[in-house]
Amino acid sequence: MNMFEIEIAKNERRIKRIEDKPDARKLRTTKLYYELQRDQAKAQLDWCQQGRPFLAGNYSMFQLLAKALGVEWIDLGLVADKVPDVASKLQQAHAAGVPEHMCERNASCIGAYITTGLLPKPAGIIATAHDCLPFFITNNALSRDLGVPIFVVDVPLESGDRALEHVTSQLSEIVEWAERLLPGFSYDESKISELQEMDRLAHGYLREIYDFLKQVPCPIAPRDVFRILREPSCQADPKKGLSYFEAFRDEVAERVQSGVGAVVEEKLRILWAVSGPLFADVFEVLVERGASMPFFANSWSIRAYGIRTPLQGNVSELSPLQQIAAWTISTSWWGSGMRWIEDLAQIAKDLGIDGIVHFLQFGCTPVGGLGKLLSEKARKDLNIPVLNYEGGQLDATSFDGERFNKRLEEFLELCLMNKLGKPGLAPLPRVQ
Amino acid sequence: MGHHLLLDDEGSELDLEARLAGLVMANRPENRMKWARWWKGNGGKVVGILSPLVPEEILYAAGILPWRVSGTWEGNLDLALTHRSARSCSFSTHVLQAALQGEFDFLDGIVACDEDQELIHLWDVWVNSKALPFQHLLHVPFTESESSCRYLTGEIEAFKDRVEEFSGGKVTDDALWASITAYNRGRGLLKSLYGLRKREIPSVTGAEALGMVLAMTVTDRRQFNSELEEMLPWLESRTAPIGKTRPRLLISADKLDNPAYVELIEGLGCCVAMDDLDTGSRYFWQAVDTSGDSPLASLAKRYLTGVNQPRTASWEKQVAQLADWFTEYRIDAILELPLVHSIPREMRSRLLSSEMTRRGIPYYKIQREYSMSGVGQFRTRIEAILEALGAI
Repeated sequence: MNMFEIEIAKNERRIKRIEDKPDARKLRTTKLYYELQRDQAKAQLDWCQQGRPFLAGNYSMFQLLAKALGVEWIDLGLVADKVPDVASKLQQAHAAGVPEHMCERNASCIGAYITTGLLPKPAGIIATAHDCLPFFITNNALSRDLGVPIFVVDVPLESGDRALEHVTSQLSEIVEWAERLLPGFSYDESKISELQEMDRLAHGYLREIYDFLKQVPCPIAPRDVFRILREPSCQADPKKGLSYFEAFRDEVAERVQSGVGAVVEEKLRILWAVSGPLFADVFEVLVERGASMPFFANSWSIRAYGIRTPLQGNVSELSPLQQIAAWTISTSWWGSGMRWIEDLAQIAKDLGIDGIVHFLQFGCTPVGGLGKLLSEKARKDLNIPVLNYEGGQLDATSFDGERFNKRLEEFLELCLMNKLGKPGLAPLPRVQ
Repeated sequence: MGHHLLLDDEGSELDLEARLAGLVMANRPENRMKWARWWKGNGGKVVGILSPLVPEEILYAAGILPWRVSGTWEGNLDLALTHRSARSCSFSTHVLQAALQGEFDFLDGIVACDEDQELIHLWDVWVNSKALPFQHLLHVPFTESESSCRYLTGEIEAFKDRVEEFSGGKVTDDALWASITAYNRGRGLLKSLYGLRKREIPSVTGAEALGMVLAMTVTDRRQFNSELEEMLPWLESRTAPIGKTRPRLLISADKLDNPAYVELIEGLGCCVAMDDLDTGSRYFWQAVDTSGDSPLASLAKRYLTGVNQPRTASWEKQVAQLADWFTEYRIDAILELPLVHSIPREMRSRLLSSEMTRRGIPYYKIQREYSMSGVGQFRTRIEAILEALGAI
């Protein structure tokens, strides 16, 4: 089975499980979430089976360009997290020269492409270094491995008119490049405008949800915090995608109204940042200790929830390509790491956070090396502790879930002691 | 410091071999701050440079000494590892260790660029841990397009404005052109030196060549130029004290700033006849084009297209350069020495390896630590390579 078929089957199983055993304690919109994931995979499978071309890349917002050209997009970042039998793909990637210290998400992406038939070869790759340099390097390598052209979008450190002009002009060049690459497909900017409008509405719903998340008790379960859909423009049916965000907002509002908390007797609120630990059942640990997790911070969520708005001012006055450029320049993960640290501090303040789990997969360069600065900021400005932890994200064999859960339990205890005003914060945990 | 860059303890001129040795050892920990301290002692400012992509000419035009930052060569990294993972770029970790130990407290500032995120976060920790009168982080684009060139020109202009504020004086176009001329002169002299490495018995060993380029990065440019200019005629008649002239290797690496590594390789029975190092040839190979009207645009073009770091998109160009040098310098094999935990270099290695194989160019790769640890294992692997090349 190729990855699209695997995704379809996986999501259909999940939908069936929900239909067979509905659970009133869980979010109703989760079913819609899985339907949208399934639909997206179906659309891609369909496209693939017709032998039609894909574009691929590591930055989800460039998908708008693919849509405007009328082609399907492979989001290599999302692929990385869904690669089946990932341990063997990682082995294949390492055997092909991908360094072992490189982030597993990158290695899994290359491993996925080494496996014949798992993913269609894209007609071209659109890459950028600004979010995660290793992913840009992976894209660079993939284009050579697959023998496909690559267009690299250079993104500066700072915003401003110069940066906007620089990025926008490159996006215009992508259009010319792609039209040459994909004969018979032409760019229709009106498609972008329509999708951007839907994305804006979705971001609006997410901003409302963010306000709801400030409520105690937190209305969303920790598990659901990791389960947030990408924008409507990333969905096969963008209108259905938008309806998800609206329904999600409504459901969270309902819970806040009724005072329903996802965690019984909420004692702590934890902010999770960077990566999800896929091989440790942290959710049980959190719930058992009365710890809610209102937010999962990464470069996407910070943008989507409006914590970091485009640095360009009133984005809706810009042209569609300028808007993509403005959002692209605004990511937290390029430039000085203090931007990321300030964002996390802001979220922690907004949501009444009692502790931050800064969970990096091995080889994460976007935020690696910032743990101690974050801890110092959190202690000084918010008087809360930070657990800095490095671990495997995709390969179960590289991650000791039990050991991590033990650290998490200790950390939660520390947060609680701190919250209750017990003397002194313990020494800062070292980076693993 | 007088007419000569190097004087003995009594202030007398040294003979040429001694002067060469002095240059080669210029970047050793006990020596590398000498010229910077002399510069400061004469009322000047010194700014640390964290990447070969930083346009040093801007600082030099303002009368500031650009001074290349090296990491500690020691193994103890206790301070740095409270910030950084042991699995991260060891150059950045070693530099941070040195910074937190106070080794660079004499600097008036630091300038870095976004060569990679590891370097950016090194810069973050450094500027947040130490009060520095001046710090600047530049964006150097990843592509060589016209738009990137325009952007970098603007970045360099913004950098110049900040340098003017810091130095308290205007950096005029004339001053910039003069600075560029001095830098180009040094580049040309080193290129002439490297030309002498094409010989069957080169004039300098690989270690000596690397040492001399590194000397340029920690001394006053004009003084270095005078020194090398005086030495070149003598070097033309010199034969390097190498044990074996074959096999001839080209070594390719980043942040290799300890000539002892090269000395070790050559000591095992080979000649390092050329390098592809950002501390070696890539630092000086391409001059700034002085035919244009704008020194800033000329600098942008040079720093965008001339340094060829693996972090950019131009891998094919970088690989082709190695293939050209393979022929030009009559190389027998390319030896890549990626720094442990360097992602751009390691990922580019895959292309380099397949391309060299396609061209029938022997290619080998050995990972190395930034400091010379694990020397025994490194030596064994070099010996194995030389044996494979029929040297032993």
